[in-house]
Amino acid sequence: MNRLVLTPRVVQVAALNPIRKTLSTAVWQHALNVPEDKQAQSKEGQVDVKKALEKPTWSVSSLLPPKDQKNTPKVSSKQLHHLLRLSALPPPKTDEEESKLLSTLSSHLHFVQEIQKVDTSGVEPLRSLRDETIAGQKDAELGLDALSEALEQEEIRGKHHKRIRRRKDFVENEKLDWDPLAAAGKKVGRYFVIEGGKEGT
Amino acid sequence: MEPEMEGIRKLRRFIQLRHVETLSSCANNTAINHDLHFPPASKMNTHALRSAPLTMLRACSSAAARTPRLCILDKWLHSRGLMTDPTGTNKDSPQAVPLRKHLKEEAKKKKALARASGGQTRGKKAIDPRLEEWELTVGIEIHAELNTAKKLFSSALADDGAVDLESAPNSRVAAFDAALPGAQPLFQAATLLPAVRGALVLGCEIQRVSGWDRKHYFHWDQPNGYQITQYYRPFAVNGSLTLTAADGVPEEDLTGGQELQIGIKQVQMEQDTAKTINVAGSRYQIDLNRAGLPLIEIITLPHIHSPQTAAAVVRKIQTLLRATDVCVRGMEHGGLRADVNVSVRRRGSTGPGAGYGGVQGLGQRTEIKNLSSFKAVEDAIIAERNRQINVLEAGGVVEGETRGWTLGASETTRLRGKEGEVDYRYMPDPDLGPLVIGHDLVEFLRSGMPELPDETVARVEREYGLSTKDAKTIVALDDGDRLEYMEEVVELLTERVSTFDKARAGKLAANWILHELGGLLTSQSDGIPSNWTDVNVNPAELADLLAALAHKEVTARAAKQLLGMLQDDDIRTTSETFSVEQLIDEHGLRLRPLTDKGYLELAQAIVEANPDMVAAVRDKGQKGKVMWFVGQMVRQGEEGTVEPEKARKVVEGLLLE
Repeated sequence: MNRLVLTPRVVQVAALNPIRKTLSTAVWQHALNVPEDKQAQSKEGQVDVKKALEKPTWSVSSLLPPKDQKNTPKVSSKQLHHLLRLSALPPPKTDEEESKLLSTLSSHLHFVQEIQKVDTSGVEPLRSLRDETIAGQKDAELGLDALSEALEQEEIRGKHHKRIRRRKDFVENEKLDWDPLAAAGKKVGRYFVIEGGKEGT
Repeated sequence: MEPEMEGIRKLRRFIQLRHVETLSSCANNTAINHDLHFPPASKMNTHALRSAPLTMLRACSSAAARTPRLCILDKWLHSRGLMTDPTGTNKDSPQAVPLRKHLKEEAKKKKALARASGGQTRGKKAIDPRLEEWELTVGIEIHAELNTAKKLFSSALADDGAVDLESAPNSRVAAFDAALPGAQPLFQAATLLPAVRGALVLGCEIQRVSGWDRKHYFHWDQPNGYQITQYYRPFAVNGSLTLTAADGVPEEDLTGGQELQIGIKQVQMEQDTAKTINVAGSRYQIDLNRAGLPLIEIITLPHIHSPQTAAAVVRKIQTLLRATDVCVRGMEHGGLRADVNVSVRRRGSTGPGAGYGGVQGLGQRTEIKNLSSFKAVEDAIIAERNRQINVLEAGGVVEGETRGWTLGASETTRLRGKEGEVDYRYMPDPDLGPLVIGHDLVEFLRSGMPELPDETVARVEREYGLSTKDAKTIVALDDGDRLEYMEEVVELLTERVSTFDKARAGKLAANWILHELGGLLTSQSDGIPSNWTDVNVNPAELADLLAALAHKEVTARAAKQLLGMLQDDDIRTTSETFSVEQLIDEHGLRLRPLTDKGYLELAQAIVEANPDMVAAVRDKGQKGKVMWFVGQMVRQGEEGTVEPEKARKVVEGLLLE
């Protein structure tokens, strides 16, 4: 159960949004900021790899609550159940399991709060690793060229009353090359079937 | 539009019947065969028909005028098999006047409602005193299905509903749409065409860079467990929509001005969800064909202050999206859905609601989800406004919650409150890069915007001399094809008839295209109304026909017969060559005008045979009845010989001088 709670998704749940900040480059710059005097550089300017890795300058554990400190859950039982339901995870079966979950969750929260201390104002979040150079963005840009094929599939209808219309004759009626229902646990005809329990969510 | 025209035709027919019945009762039981009343309303006498009944009724003695009304309605219904035993003993019959009963029940309901809300009627003039005190504020979110070939993030075909309505469930599904592990989204660039056009037509600024977020929730309409949307980084912002009284905005909302501006906060792209069908109890069937279809969500600012304006906003947006080919399926087919945010506050006061889009101090708002018709938008807002006022006047507090509405209901119902509110845990989608839209594309689409419906209506009124109503009708019909047809006919007709300018040709062509050709489509012999695409008459033939009419080569009556032949599948397939001229000659429909003497003799014969009618015109001064004589002349005269206008002059000469 603990392992399940530790999935990144639940970390997000616990963070209730500041995930963007935790992912920001600023965090890692901050965390990995190695002071000048500790730099393992020889006089020739060569990096002595072995020396550099000898002594850790920082540990994730500095972001976790001290072991001896009693964890006071900042999350109520009700909130826990709400979060589990939102994440489609099963509720705890016993009180013991629940208090364990709460304890893990609050150490997650501690971690996130530590990370939130980093000043990220004015820093764009790193959403994913992409080419962010001007040339890279230009490559990703969808302009007239990229849309030329789609524009060719349109026509102007009417001699007097001119209207733009997408031509339907371009839509190739290709057959599906796989059966979406093949892995269905339950189906009727060409439908997936869900036993919904109570109405909606 | 078609059903409306059918309705008008029925009404006109009803008025004709009533007219005749009134005539007969006034004229002391002159026997008139029901099939003979009136010539099919020709262009010339339609106006007379429309205005006649009122003067007739006034002219008759009051008793005679009042009783026949019921009697005629009765007969009319009866003749169509709609009326059961007038004594009401046969109530169980399935034929039992459903419309009447329905109307009665409606009226009863409304009365009860008015009584419940303190004796106010819901008539236009009756202003609810509470609305003087309370100010309503509404913002709308509209989801519109984009007209594209593919889905938003996969190359699976988008079922646009136009071509293949019967497509099998789960037949348009890519691995990504079914959330197979490892499947990646691939943005389909072609979806940008309708999306950007939709944003431009709403006056938005297109953002060069926008982005995709995941909005998480677990429900079986969403295989991925999240919807990909642009709520936080939309591709278009800061638009505005202009409405006028013609769009259905009440005068109070215009506050003296000509138009009303409704701000558009943003337009974003997002995925549609799968279709779920509740088959029995808690069992659902899922069809993923709709999952991942491209939508735009249009979010207005809370600038709307009446239910009518809210409905007008949705209607206008639908019209604009359709005209620009952004969205092909309207609300009636589920291609457009609306959520409304409603709040009230005492006028001049500041409410406790959170600010939205720069608008502060509103009352606490509630959201009503998934409204699928203009009427539902209007009615749901009325109901929610009244509910909130009731709560506040009773000293209560409006909760921020999500509510639902079903058509016909008088109250909205609570779906979920704040504590049950979903936390969507938005996060940037790491599988998708930012959406970068090129400036050249935006400018290309902006400069290539088609004429918008308001401009088209104005042009049709100006150039072709149509009334606003007719112009609106013809612009709205058949995806613009009917207007194109009319413009072609007008062009040909002005070439054929030297005395016709665009306006004269326009009015004549519009009348024939809307009413005569439209009528042929709705009254097919097989009983199945046809579509505009079933029109066989080409513009050149209609121009020939109308030219023949204008040159007085045929009567209006003959022209209608000819139109029927031109449209007839059998005649078209059996005739080898096919021209209006040939048809006129083959069927002997060429106008052989009666001599003046001929007109006089025909008129005299009819006058002599109907002394009662003569007396009505001469002694009682019922000049409208002249048209009855005209009708008789057209009918009794040989085919293609009597022109109604001329006949009228002759009859008037005989009776009135």
